[in-house]
Amino acid sequence: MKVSRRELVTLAGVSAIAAATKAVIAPTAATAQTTSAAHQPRWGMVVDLRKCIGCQACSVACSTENAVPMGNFRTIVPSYEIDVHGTARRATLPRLCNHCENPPCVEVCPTQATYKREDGIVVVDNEVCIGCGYCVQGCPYDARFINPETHTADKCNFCVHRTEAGLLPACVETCVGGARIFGDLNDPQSTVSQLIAEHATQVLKPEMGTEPNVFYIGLSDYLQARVRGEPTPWSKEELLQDMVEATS
Amino acid sequence: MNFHIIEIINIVHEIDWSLVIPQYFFFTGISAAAFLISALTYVFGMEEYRPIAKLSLIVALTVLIAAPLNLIADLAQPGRFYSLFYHRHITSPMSWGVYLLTSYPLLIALEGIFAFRAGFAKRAQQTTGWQQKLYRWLALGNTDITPQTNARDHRWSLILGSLGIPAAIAVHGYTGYILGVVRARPLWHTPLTPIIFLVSAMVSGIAFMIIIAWLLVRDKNGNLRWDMMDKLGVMLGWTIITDLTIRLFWYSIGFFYSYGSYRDVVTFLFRDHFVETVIIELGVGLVLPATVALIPALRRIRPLFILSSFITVAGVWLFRWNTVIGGQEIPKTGAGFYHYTPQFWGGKSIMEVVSNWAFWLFLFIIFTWFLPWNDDAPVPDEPVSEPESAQKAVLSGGVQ
Repeated sequence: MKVSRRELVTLAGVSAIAAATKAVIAPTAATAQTTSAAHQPRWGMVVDLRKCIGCQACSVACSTENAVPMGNFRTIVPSYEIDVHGTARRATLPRLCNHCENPPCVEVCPTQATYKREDGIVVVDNEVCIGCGYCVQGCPYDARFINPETHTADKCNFCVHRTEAGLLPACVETCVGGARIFGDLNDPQSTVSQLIAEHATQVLKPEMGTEPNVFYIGLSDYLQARVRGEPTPWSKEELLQDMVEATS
Repeated sequence: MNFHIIEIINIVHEIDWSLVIPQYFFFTGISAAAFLISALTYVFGMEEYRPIAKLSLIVALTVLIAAPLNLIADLAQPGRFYSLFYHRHITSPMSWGVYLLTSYPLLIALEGIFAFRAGFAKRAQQTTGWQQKLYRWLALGNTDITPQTNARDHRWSLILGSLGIPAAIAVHGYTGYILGVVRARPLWHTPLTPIIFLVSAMVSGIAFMIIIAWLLVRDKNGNLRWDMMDKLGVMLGWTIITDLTIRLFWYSIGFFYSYGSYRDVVTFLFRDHFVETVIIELGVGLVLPATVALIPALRRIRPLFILSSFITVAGVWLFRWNTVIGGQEIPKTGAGFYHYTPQFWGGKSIMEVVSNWAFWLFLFIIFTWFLPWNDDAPVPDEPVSEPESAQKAVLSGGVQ
């Protein structure tokens, strides 16, 4: 390998910095090593609904981070107005892929394009996916869609490209109220594990037997399954049309 | 308690399986039923259905060649359909389907070779040039028609037909299974789905073969075979009664004894879609044809009998639609119900279904043209006299 003088200088500089900071980064590196060798993480999320303000920053961050085509969402925060005896209150419910322990989408995929990784993340291999939409039907949480650009199934993957690099998923990093907490469910010291240990948590549609790895704090039972109420009064087509007209 | 939820923000999820999927389910159902009708003669030796046995095999095969095109058309990556052969997944019924959808038509074709062999041999003797070569090749190189060859042909038709019965049940049963395993869709997720699909397939297939017999099958004097069609009519009537009985179990348990997500199905079917489900699909599509088919005085009003057969076929198509599309119109998370209106032109459109019918019609004309399906009739080489107008009628009857 030919190395120019400039590169050599740069390399020497980098080594010097690395040596100088070794003491500082060592614990992190050690943790990472333990994580990969002995400890198998199982990624999960806790959504603390007491802290969600329904600002949709997570929806926007996700769509930006993952280049989700307009009109589709990997995560979104549906909002509800709940009227009890004439007293109205707002409820928000961030929805995303639940990365189920027993994912119905995986079992129906005819090509095994979608699968559950060892770290618990359910992913889609969009080079194998044929776009049959069976997983879209099979997911009880409406977490999947056929991406109109890739023509394959698409969904939240806990920003696997970020988590593998030691970063948080985009939605978690951007969450204003700190309502989305991401971490290793296999590590009892992780924030998610501690929150689950300390608080009563709920999952969506527990009767489906999917064992979600997205847990909610403060989820009302009437939002746990399909919401029975008055539907959203506008359609996606109308909204997209409005957006097109507004930008043209 | 005064409790009310209004959904302010949510996304409406698209109906992902479009109207070509009901068309696929409908066609595989016709195929399975037509095959079973042919098996009445070839496997069970019921001579009264022999005039339609060969046509039933042709329908079973041609419809099953056209049907999977709907599946490929509905893929977001249609160019990758072949990967289903080597990317297998044992827990996915769609993965089993690929093997059923390829082996079953081969089985029909193979049975057809033996069922038609004597006819091929006869035509090889009567024709010259390339036609003679073709028919000799189709007759497996053996143009003899002797009691021995007939016995051999009969034996092979019996063996292949017997193998075909479970294959036909599987090829349509698995389509019901595809829907049945989806626990996220309460309308689909019942063990009855494959059974109802099979029985309604028989309903549509018998009615379809009555229409085909009315259009094409004549006796030695050129008269319609009302004796055979009456038998098919009675069979149709009792199959509809079976269908209605299963529906009764399904709906009544759902209506009176269910909880949770199944309540949405009841509301959807019996409140929001009362006209489509109860009046048209159950009333006009099933009860009326069963009444006509089972009451001899009504059945003998021949135009009414034929009309009710058309209605039956259309009614089963509507059932496929109501199940596949209706199941997706019940949101999994969102409030209310969705509405789906198919496009007229373009991908996943009404024209795609019409094209599929047209492609089947094309296949059916080709197959009835070169296959000796009516060699028991006095003029074996007479080309089919009215296939085109006949099929147009079938076409309009099915798409309505």
